[in-house]
Amino acid sequence: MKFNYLFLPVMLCLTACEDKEEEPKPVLEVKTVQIDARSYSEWVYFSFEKGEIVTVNPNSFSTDLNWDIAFHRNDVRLNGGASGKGAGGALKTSAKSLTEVGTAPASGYKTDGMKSIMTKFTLPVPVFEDQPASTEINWLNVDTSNPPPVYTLFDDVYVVKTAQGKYAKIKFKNYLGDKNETMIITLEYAYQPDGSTSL
Amino acid sequence: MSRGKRVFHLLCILLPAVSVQAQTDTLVTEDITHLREVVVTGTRTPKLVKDSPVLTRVITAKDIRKLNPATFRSLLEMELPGIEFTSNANVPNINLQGLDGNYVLFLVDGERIAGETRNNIDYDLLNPNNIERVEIVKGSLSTLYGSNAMGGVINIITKKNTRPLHLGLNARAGSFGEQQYALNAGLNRGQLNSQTSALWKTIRNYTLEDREYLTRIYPDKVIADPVLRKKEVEGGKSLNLEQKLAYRFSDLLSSEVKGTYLQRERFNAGAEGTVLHNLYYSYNALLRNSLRLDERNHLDLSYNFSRYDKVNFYHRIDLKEKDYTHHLHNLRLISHNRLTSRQMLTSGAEFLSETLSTYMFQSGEKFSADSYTLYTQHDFTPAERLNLLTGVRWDKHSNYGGNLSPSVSLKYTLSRAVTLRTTYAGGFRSPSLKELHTNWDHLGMFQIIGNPHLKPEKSRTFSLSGDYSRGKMYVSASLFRNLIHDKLNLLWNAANDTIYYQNTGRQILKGAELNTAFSPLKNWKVQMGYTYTHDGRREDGRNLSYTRPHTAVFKTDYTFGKTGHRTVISLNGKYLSSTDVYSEDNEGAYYKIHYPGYSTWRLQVSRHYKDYLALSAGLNNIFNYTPAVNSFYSSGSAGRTFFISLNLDSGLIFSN
Repeated sequence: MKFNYLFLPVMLCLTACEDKEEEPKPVLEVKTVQIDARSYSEWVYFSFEKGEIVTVNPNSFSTDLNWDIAFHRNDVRLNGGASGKGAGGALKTSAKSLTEVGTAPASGYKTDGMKSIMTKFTLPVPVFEDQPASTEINWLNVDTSNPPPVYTLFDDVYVVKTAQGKYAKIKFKNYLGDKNETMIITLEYAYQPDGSTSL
Repeated sequence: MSRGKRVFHLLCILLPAVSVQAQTDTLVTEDITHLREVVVTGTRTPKLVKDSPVLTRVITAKDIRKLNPATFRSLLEMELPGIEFTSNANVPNINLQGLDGNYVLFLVDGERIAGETRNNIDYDLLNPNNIERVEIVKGSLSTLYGSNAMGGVINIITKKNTRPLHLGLNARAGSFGEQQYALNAGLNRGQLNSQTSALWKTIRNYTLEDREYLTRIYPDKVIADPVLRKKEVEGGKSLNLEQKLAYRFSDLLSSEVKGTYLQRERFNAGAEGTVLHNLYYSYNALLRNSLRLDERNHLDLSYNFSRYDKVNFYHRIDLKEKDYTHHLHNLRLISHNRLTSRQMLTSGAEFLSETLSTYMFQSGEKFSADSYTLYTQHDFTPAERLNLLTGVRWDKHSNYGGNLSPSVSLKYTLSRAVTLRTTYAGGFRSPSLKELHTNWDHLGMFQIIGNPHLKPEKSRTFSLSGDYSRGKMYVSASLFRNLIHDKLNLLWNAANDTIYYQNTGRQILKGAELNTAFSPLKNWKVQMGYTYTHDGRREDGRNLSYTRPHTAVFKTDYTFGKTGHRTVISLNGKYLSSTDVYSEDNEGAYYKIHYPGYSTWRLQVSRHYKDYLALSAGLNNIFNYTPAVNSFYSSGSAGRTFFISLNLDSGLIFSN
């Protein structure tokens, strides 16, 4: 046993040295952001480049290139397809944590289409409206068939393309805020600003 | 006994080896009929069960010790047929023969407890290790206890120390990380009597997974859920402390003070648990003086304070916010006067005040209600075999004014073995502060609005019972009919965005109960209970009841071994029949969900060393029943679970 312990640091050093030689890839910083997406009527727009929420005129969001992703309750919008004139799109990976995704896939990104969105929660029948939104991203299921609503959070990692065609990987961590407010989203993401597929 | 011998005996306890031999100590000679237990709930005066004009069911400390329940709830579930606890969004929801927590009054030492969650008290306030006995009276007892006592009263009498010095320790461990540690200590010196109890317990969360898809049955179609559901059952931890001090100043005057404290943390399920844990605090103080004027007359003066707080603990940001506090003050003077050898008069005057502030009111609002009460009860024995109890109560409530509740009970002793009883009682329930003043946005879905003009709900109960006892055999049978009118319902407004309370409901409950206890052998006891309930809650021609019509409990234990080294094997069963529960969907169409009947069985083996050590091991739900679909009214059972427990009692050591 003593013998093994003596060799342990040596072996650790060896493996560490090996790693260094093999991959000099810089690790992207994983950021966590909380977004208040409680409103039924308003979307909240976010830019990966700026790393913050951006103000977008709700009447001209589809021609604005300053945002990459937007949130409304459990609905998500990407700047592309029916939602915008950018290069936005999303792809659901099989990964369950951000570290499992090292490279953005070359193809398979789905641009936004039209989706039925709840714009007012009334009973017995809520108000729905068709709006542009991502049909690829489904991070939270809300079952309102019987009160109280049942929320199911999915743990998938998505790779998304920004308005400029750059890549980011995202994971929805929670739909509850620090004070238990429903639809304050905790989003974990890593953004590649150099335009490469390396994540 | 030598030290070596003692160690040997201790080892024996730990071994499962059992010598089959009848034995003769207290556990066997106990009275299984419970007819000679002293009870107070039915008349507010001490009476033997067999003499009480009001049919009273007792669970004694001995029963509790033998059953060794993990919680107060499981004690009631194992002992009483006709009782079911379902889980409403992880909050326990009592159903006693068709009536929920609003209509079953829980008392501790005859006093009310503040605080409720979905109309249920915090059952964790009740520490099974500190219970002397539980008295259960079904049907209305509003004449004596006022509001809420419409379906029954469950009065928990806490332990009173009678030994000079006493120490009891309990430890328990079980599935899902369950741990419990309890201490009971008593002191009895001259005129002073002290009883201390403490309980700390914890259990972690676990998940129930459906095996079948939840199916809603419409008259013309059947819709199954697209996914199998999961339900997380919440654990938690709690600390329960109680100190009781009694002092006898003289033969005329004695006083008692009691303080109880509970602190409980709920391990909220799912994503909510990642940001929020609910905390609950209960504070209770009781002062009671008893003044004996002479042989025939005595007075009891008591003041009870009870407070319950709910606090949201946002643990990610270490923030605690109180969002509910309920205070209750109850001052009571009771006069007991023996008029003649055949007549007893019990009269009371009470003041009850409560204050509530809750997240269900508009921000910062706080409401109060007071009631003043006078009541009198005449206990009359006109003939040897006949006992007549008549009572009347008048309440004046700050919101709705006066209310009168009468009652009359008759007991007739047909023979030495057979007793007949009948009761007619008017019951009531005052609208709660929540029902009067709520103004709450229900999760952004709709508004719930209280109504300050509500009247009390009223009931009329009629019951008839007979019991037979001979030697080690006891049978009792009873029938009841309970009509509740002016029942509070939640109605939708025309715009479908608000629900509000109205006195429009009506519910007729009818039922029967059968209980029996007997000893086929000296060391073998059997107890069975059965209830039938017909809940006539109808809407649009559909029965909206969620009460399972047939329920039964079965309890048996067998004792082996010689005095000093006993082994008790006990088996408990509970059966609940199937039921269909109708609900209305978002489009106003009715559908039903079928809940199949089920039974669960529990096996326990206890090894006793004299009276001061007991080691028990048991399996809950031995046949591993789990519901195929976990929905509102399903059992919530996680399947087979185990527990072990160790009870130490110093009683014998100190008295030697």
